[in-house]
Amino acid sequence: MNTQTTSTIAPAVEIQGLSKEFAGHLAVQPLDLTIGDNEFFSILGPSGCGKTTLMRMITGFEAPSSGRVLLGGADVTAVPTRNRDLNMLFQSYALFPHLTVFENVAFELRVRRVAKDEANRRTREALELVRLGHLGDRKPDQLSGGQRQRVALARAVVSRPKVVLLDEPLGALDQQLRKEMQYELKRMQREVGITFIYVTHDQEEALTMSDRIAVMSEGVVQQVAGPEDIYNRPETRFVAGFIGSCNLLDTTVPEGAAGDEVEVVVDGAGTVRGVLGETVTSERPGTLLVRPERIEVRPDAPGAAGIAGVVETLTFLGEEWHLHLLVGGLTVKASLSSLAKERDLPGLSMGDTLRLSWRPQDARIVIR
Amino acid sequence: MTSMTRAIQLGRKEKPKRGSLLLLIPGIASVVLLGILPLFIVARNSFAVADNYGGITDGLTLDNYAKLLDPVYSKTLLYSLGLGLLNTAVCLVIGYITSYYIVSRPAGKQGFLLLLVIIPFWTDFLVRTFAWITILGSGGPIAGVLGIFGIAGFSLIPSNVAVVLGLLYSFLPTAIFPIYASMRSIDGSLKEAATDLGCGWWGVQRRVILPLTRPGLLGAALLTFIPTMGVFVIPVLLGGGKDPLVGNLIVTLYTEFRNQPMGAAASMLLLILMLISMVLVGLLLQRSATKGSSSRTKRSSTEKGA
Ligand SMILES: Nc1ncnc2c1ncn2[C@@H]1O[C@H](COP(=O)(O)OP(=O)(O)O)[C@@H](O)[C@H]1O
Ligand SMILES: [Mg+2]
Repeated sequence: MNTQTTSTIAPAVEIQGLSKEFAGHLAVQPLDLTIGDNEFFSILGPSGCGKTTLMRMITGFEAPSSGRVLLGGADVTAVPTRNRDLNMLFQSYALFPHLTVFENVAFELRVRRVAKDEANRRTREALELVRLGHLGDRKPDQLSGGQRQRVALARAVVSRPKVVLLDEPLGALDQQLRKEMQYELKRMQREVGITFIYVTHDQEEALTMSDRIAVMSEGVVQQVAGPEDIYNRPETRFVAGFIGSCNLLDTTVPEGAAGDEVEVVVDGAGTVRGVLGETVTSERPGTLLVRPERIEVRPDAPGAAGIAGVVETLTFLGEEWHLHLLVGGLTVKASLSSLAKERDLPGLSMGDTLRLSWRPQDARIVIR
Repeated sequence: MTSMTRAIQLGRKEKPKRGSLLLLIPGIASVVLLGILPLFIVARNSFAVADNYGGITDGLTLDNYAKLLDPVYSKTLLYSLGLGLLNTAVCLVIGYITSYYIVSRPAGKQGFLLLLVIIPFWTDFLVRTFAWITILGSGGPIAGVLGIFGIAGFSLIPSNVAVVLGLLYSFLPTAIFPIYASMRSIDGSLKEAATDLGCGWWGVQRRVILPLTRPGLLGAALLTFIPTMGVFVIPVLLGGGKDPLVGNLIVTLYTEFRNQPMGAAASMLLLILMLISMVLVGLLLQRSATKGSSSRTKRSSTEKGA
């Protein structure tokens, strides 16, 4: 192929203006994404936001209404699924019930007529990778959910495709197994060096495993960034509200505001500061986003800095305390490590007044 | 019933009372009187010696079976086997394609399509066979269309082609249902997974859909193969009676030849063939359940040898 020379530097997947319309409803709005080689890339969003549809367009199961999909630099929009150098891991695992574990994993190599010795060797390798070398003779219905998951993964990576797409693969497992598999999936992805596109509605899964995350809502990609940035520097109200716990304080952004220390007035609470990512030319409604653990709470003292809040509820969670504070007419969430609580606020109880403050770089102001 | 519910409520087993045994009597009686007893009589008659008028006398002989080996009869038997195989093969192929089509429709439409398959059953079988005479005969639509192109005198009645078409027509619905039932239970994502793993349309059929539809196909074969041999109306009405099937043979032996013992022997032969094919199908189903692991064992042993 003529892309041979460029494929080493080309990103694994490029999506350009891709959209999908179902009966007049845009399930995926035109979007662009670039996913790098060997990246663990997550698509995170609530149920029904278009994650599966986006993924099915990348695999070719669904024809896009507009836009292009590039794989290793080559346009594959018109290429049928079976000729795209990618594999999918289905939520239901979709293991072939009439074939053994070994035959399931060897399936693609046989279809693609890889020499028998070579195929058997690679199949055994893939089974070793998922630590199921000893279960090759079993049928899928003789396996536990976690084992099936591993077989499905071995089957998806055995041919070393450029990309493996995983659609909520841990959804059917119990909590304990999910945690284990999160770690395992990440390990295997590093070991095989294949780009993983991982679809999930579970923020914790996305945060712990991903190199980068695209947060989606109603067919729109809200933000693409690494887990830390997604969590600490959410760019939209949706991202802040969907991931972790966040205070969303409505405010008005004054005309001409810009920069890292913008002052805004939150009704009832007073003047606070935060980072404004863009320059506004006219006064606009905005939201100030600040995470509970970024809020510093100190005992109220005459002349102390910050805004005053009255403790409404006080919940002990082991490693930390959760506080709901009444600030003017608003409820603000703050959290406090057990250590800080014991050291600074030993006698804290409901009804006490505290002072709340945060560093300007820990709060973001977004335009609504 | 009440004692059963009580047993369940109490959570322990209770001996069936005499009352509940009494309730079983109608069921047992009808099975014995309508099923086992006639079958027993036919079986007994097949070993009986015929009197001069073909009636049953006592005696015990294998003659009736031996006479079926006579070329006159064995020719019919072989012809029937051939036609049974042909009809089964065609029914399976068309049944598979039809089922595949129905399964691929949205769930709401599938019921309607199945209804279309059933509707012919609401008309008498004889009437439907006569309809085929009209369709394939000299005054029918095919003859009419051919007539426009100047081909005159077309008629498929009587002919073996008409017999094959008639058999196909009568057994296709019976074949479709078990195949459809098997196919419907196949998870749709398996097809996508196979496509994703490099299969084209044919590969998906051969490697996934076909093996998973096997139980349905075997069931359909069972319901088509032997019953085809027992058909007697179609060879007479559509084939002119030139090439009889075992079904015709039985009718002829009982009515025209008035040789009841031989008729009974021919009937038993069909029954035995039916039993044999059921056992075969049973073995095949069992094999497909364990097949994967045995072929894997074979492979790993050859690997070691190499
Ligand atoms: N085949 C389809 N026909 C019509 N609407 C669809 C189809 N597939 C998905 N949708 C709609 O598109 C939207 C996005 O669905 P999906 O991509 O499955 O979301 P997610 O995977 O994020 O839960 C939903 O509103 C869903 O109802
Ligand atoms: Mg989904």
